[in-house]
Amino acid sequence: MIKDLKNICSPKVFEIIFNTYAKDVKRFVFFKTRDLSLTEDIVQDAFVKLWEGCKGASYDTVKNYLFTIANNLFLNIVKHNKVIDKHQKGYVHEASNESPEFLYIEQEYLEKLETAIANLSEKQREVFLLSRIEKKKYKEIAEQLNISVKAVEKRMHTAVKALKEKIEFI
Amino acid sequence: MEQKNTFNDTYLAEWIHGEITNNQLKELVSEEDYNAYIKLKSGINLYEALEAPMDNTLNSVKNRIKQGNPATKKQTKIRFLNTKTIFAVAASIAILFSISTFLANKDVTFQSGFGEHKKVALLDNSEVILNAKSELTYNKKDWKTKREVFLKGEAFFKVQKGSTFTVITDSGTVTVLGTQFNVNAQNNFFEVICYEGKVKVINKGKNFVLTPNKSVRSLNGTITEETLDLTTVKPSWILGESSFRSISLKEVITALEKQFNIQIDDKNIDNSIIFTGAFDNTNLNIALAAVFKTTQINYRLKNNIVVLSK
Repeated sequence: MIKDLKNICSPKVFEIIFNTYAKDVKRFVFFKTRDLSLTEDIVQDAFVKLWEGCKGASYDTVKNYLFTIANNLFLNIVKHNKVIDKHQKGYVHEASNESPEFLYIEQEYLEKLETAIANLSEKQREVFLLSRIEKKKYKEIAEQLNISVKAVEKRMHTAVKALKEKIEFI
Repeated sequence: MEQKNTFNDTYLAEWIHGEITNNQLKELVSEEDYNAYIKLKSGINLYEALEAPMDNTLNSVKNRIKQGNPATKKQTKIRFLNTKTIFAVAASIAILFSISTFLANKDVTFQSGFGEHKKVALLDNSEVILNAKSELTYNKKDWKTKREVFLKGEAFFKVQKGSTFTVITDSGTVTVLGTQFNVNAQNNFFEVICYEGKVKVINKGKNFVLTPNKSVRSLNGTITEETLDLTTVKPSWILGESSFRSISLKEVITALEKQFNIQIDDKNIDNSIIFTGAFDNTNLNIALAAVFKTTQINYRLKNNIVVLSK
């Protein structure tokens, strides 16, 4: 039981704050930068800066504080990039074996997708998340849920179909 | 193309997993649906990227905090002020304030003695390590608007990211944003080595931009740029060994004098010969041997004076 949530300079509280807000900060930064590698850098910087300024931060306003730090870091980079010479090192877009088109998905579309995921049936959502977020293979999911691989694939199939249809109607 | 036995009710699962190609999907659904599915896949990929566990990020943050800024490791004591303390604190603040405005206009100077390394923490938590017989000065009041220090001698700088940080020496100026570099400003010798980040050097009107492992030096008016093979993240003198690369013996002699607080009489030898080598900072006899045996110069040490002869 954490006695004093207000003391951000405590490693335990800092970690709670990280676990609560890191993804939000990441999302916020990603939609500004459209660059996952740069986003990672800024998110790390923001939390390191939060720790360095932990005396002056309060738990109630820490989310705003983080977003402000992240935004300032982003603006500094934009300013710096405008000034730097073309020959100097710029930020390299993350090389990935996925199609880079996902970098250009609108925030609105992503939000619709999340709503649609939340509205999947329990069974569909479960398989969807185990496969996409926990990166489990259909065989592993089958073992975990104690159903056949075919059943897993059916659920995944209907989940994907449902997502497409739900997004069209949101 | 491998023809998988796909049933009508699982092809999307196989496609999203990469077991069926986009082209194969195209043949199974209408064009409109196909476009929607393609966009959906991109959206799902983005969702995955944004929802991925952030344990690695947290670990990186923790490591950076551990390795970073000593100031952040300090524990702050929280004092609850009652009225008595408030007045006492207010009174002492008033006195301190008047003293500090008096001092604010003054320069702050740090000096290292013979054989001494001095670690200095600047107001922005940048760190400076002074080598022997070196001097660092900055103006407390000016520091608020610009980070500027004056250096005589040699120092290793670990500068916090922030506004432009400038090191001014008699031989040249070094500016950085946040990085690690070594500046050696002696009488006839000026050298800057970049260990991390980016360093800009202005020497006799010429500009140099150094990235890690790059150095620029001016020896008796001749400017050389080099790429070094640095195996350490800090210069060797911090770790107890002074090393020299193609430096005139005169500079090495000066370094010995500063390190060990001795005087070296070199009038009977040619001190312009070029020396590459190192000496241990902790033992004078070993250091003298290291320098002069390799250059085949005779030396005699008596009462802190070394006389050199051929």
